[in-house]
Amino acid sequence: MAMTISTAHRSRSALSVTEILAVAVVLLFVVVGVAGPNLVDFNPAATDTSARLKPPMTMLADGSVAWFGTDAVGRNVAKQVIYGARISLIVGFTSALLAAAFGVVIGVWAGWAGGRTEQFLMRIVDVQLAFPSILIAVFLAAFIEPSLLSVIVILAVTRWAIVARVSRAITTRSLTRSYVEAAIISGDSAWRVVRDCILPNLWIPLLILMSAELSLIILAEASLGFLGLGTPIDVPSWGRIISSGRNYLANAWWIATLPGVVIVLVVVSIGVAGEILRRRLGRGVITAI
Amino acid sequence: MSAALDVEQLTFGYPSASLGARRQVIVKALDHVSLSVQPGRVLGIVGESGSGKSTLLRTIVGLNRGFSGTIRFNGRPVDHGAGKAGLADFRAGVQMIFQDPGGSLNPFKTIRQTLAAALARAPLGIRGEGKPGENKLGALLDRVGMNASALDRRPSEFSGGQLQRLAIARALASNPSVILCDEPTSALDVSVQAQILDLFAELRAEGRAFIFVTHNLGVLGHIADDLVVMYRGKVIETGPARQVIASPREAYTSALIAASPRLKHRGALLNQARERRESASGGKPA
Repeated sequence: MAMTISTAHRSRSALSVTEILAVAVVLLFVVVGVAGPNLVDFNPAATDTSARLKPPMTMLADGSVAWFGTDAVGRNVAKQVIYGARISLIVGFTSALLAAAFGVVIGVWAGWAGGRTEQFLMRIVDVQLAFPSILIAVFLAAFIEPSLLSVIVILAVTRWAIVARVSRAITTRSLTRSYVEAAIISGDSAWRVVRDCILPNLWIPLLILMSAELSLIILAEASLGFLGLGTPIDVPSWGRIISSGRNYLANAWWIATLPGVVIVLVVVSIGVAGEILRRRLGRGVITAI
Repeated sequence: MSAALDVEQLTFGYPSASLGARRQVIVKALDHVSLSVQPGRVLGIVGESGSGKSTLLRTIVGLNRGFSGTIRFNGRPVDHGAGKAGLADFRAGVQMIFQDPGGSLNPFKTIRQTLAAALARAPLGIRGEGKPGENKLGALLDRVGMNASALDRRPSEFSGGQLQRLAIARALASNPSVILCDEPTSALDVSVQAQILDLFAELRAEGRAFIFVTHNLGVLGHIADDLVVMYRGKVIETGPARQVIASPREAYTSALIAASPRLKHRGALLNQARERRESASGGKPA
């Protein structure tokens, strides 16, 4: 291991131009998501039929420039994207956190308990992973009243299983280490062994895993929005903007295309940033995913 | 003299559990094993891989549940289900040293944290009142030939031999009377092995009993007073170490001794190796 670290040292510390751009996009996404809605005012109910279907870069009547053009009822697409960033950010991070918390509890429990408890819990994980996660999300969304909270919970439900699988694998492996056995022999409580000996092994693999999960969740949120199963109609979401532009693709391509480009950029950038994390912190811990 | 630790008719099998299996298959790892060790003596347990030697130690300390038979510490039966208070004496008095020095200390904690936690778990009479002070930790390190500069470092900063010393320091925090060693020197190179064995010899001179598991008869020839030979979970031969090595009763024991490069064949193997090297460097085909 020492050898791979020393030989890989140079490439681990240097970032390529693509990677710097990716990190910049992720940072921009976070800043826009946090502060954007305070910088631009957007009222989803305020329509302006005189400015409908204007192409990108059009100067509007109030003197502002519609960078991404306007939609079928004259609303500024760029402003919608900025508002949608907040939803993506909130849904992405809270769903990922929720999924991580639940998955860690189940995974560590299974790994710790072993035997039939482990078999039972892991078969549930297997069954869930056998279904495409978007199918599960659509199925659940059909039953639950649409709200920001319900979208967060639904997406967390679709992503916990992989976290549980990874947590269980790391727990099982940790339990064979002598220092964990030494702690058990000395009479430490289960919670103390988990806290001191097992959880510290989990943080870095989990951080890397969640960076991948984050982009999947953002995509899934957009998909739900596109299908009309996501956030309520008055909350602008990236998927919903694309959905609303679908009928105008022939004469107003920008409504669906530009938010789509933004989604692709953000998701790819998070992926690249996750790869940087993996390379810097991973040291081969997470080859199995 | 009464035994520090004795084990009577210990039987344990690994169950192979799987969901939906009608019948549990039990792999017998310990089959009516009885042995005992006196204070200040070293009991060596030898056998090939899978003979149950490590399982024996793990069962004694309570890592394997569901065994039958009796474990006695200082003459009193040990009940691993007894909880913290009931097991306090046993946990302080019996400590284990593991094979893998790199894995036996928590990599996320400094040596200070690890040793302080071990001291905090020791009975009140040993640790004294209040938080373990600098000199207590220093004394532990001193005991194993390390110094206080190790305290604020993490396990990744030490060599294998140093890690094994630190693991021994942790074990000594509760002033144990019995130390169980599971291949404690097999991951170390020969010169470091000798230093660790010297340290064990000192601890034994203090009256501590050792159960020393290894597949390396050479090591046991050095330090063991008595020898137990295990094969497939059973004790097949016991006796004073010298006697067992010099004139084994069982054919298996003779085979084990014959297979040990350190005792009889070391010279022959060395010569073979030398010849191979010479012929290789001479450009001749081996």
